[in-house]
Amino acid sequence: MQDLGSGMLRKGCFILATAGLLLFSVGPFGWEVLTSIKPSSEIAQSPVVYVPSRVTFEHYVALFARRDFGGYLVNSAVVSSLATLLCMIAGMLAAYALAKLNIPGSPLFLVIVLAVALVPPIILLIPLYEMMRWADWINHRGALVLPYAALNLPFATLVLRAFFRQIPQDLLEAARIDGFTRVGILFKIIVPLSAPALATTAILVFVFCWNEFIFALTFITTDAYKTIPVGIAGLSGVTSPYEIPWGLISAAAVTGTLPLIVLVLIFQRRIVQGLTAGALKG
Amino acid sequence: MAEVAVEELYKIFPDHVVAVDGVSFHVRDRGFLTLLGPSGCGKSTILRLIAGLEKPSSGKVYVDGRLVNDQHPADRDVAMVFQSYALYPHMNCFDNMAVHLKLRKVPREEIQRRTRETARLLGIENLLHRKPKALSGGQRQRVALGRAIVRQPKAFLLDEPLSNLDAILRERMRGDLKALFSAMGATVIYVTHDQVEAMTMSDTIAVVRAGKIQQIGSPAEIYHNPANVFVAQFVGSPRMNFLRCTIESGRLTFGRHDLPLPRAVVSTVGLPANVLLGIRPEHLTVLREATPGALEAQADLCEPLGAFTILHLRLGENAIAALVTPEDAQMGGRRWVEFHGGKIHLFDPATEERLKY
Ligand SMILES: Nc1ncnc2c1ncn2[C@@H]1O[C@H](COP(=O)(O)OP(=O)(O)OP(=O)(O)O)[C@@H](O)[C@H]1O
Ligand SMILES: [Mg+2]
Repeated sequence: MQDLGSGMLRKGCFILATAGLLLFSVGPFGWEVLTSIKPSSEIAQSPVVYVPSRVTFEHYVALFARRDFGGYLVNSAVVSSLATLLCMIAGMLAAYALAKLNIPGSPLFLVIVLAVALVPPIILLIPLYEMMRWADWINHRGALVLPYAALNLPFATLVLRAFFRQIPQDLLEAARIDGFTRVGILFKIIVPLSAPALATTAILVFVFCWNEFIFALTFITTDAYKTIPVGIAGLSGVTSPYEIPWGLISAAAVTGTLPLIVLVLIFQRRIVQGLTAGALKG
Repeated sequence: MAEVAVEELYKIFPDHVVAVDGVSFHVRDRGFLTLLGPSGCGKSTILRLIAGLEKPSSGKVYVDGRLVNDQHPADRDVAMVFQSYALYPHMNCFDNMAVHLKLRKVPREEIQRRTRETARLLGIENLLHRKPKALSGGQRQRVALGRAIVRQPKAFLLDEPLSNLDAILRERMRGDLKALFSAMGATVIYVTHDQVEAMTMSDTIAVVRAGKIQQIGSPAEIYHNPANVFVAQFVGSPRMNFLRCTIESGRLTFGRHDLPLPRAVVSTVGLPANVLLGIRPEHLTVLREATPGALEAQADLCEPLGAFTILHLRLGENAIAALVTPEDAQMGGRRWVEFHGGKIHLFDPATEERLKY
């Protein structure tokens, strides 16, 4: 009896904690979604209206009709994809070398990578700006792609290295005897075996690029190349300098977040664990 | 196939770990050499040096008469079977076996033909589409073997390929492998710590200890003329008995017992005063009655093995084991132990080397 009681208590606590966590993390987004489909009159109303009296898509329509939000989406997608690709390729090569090639001095290199990863990006803003001006890359997508890839490279390298290290050495040696080149081993053996790790890392890098604000704000000034975070920031004061268009901003935030959610849901299916099972005896 | 040779091979890992300490041997074309030794003695390292997975600290590796020290593993054209099998988990068995041929740009039809032929040889044709994780240990082992065979390499390197199998399967595979390799006319270097595998499969055994070859010879030579105490102990089951003796007036004396010197000993000149006598349990006859020449002993303990029983006896202060038929096995009581004169081995207790006489 007592066991049953304490078991139920524990279960109750678990549900409570989970619910709390869910509310904490999903709550703001839910609120955002609700705001984006409320008529403007209800948004600023006091006391607060939680559930809109009628659903409206006027903010979404305005977002795409009055502003070039579609363009921002494309910019974000292009910049984030290219930066992620670049970062993953470089990260894979670095992680492979660090994890599996026994290169003298790799421990020192690892420490340096870690140190670089700890530098706050904001410190780099001014020097990078100068560099971009010198390279005439202000208002060029490369001004975002390259720094994004570079900023995420230490993270990608460290995470991938940890995963690559788990791949049995025997497997790579068998591959060498079979005649794979070093690069062949990376792309034909390691990459297929670490697909889940690669997908996870790529998503995290992509999310960072997608959400990055300060570099995007500084290096891109023409509307044609702006990314979503900067685009959203630019929405304040569109209608009148004294009014914040909450409906519009919420719609933009929801639209800007949706691609990420879709991406995670797609890749979640691909994150199939246990791919290495069966390589070794057990 | 081809011959393989190593010359004065050394491998010293960081922190002065001497894994291979001056190893030389030569495996003739179609030869089957087994590296036999306890765990950590450097067997795998020797194999890896031949395969090209490690660079020797010094020494030379020859495959087919060519120095291959500076060649990449793939170019040496030797195939290795790993203890862990090391099958590619993301490829099915066919691809696992065919991968080398594909990388060598062998025509597609030939890849198909050779892979299927090899699979048929190993009885795994119906598994070719499966991934390794859907196979039993024995099946994985065959696929790993197939991956090596399909290449038709100059030599096979096998690192304890049977050690992950159960006893029955291991016994069967022992025979199968031997037949397979001799039918192919393969040159094989085989690593094991199992003396039964070494004795049954190889034409030459190299006993390795702490990175050094202790003795190299045919299984019979290793068994009948062990070069030192280590080899004598390592090969043969149950293990050889050792008795500390002195040579007194032409007889081997220990405690209140004494035995004649082996007939081969013509003169005791040059022999040390103290010697270590070795005799295998199968070379002792245990009698129930006093017999001239037999030594009186006390039967202590029986260990039945089925066909035979190990009888542990006390011979004065010395303990020895004898292999007897189950009918003769009875604990307790007096026994008389007869040493087969020709089977006595003498070693120098200081150097543990076999005494020359
Ligand atoms: N990469 C390495 N770095 C340092 N020491 C090593 C390395 N590889 C092997 N050794 C050492 O070399 C010695 C021989 O190892 P090896 O793997 O050749 O032994 P083995 O005879 O194959 O043993 P087992 O029967 O257990 O497989 C061991 O002492 C081992 O610790
Ligand atoms: Mg080994």
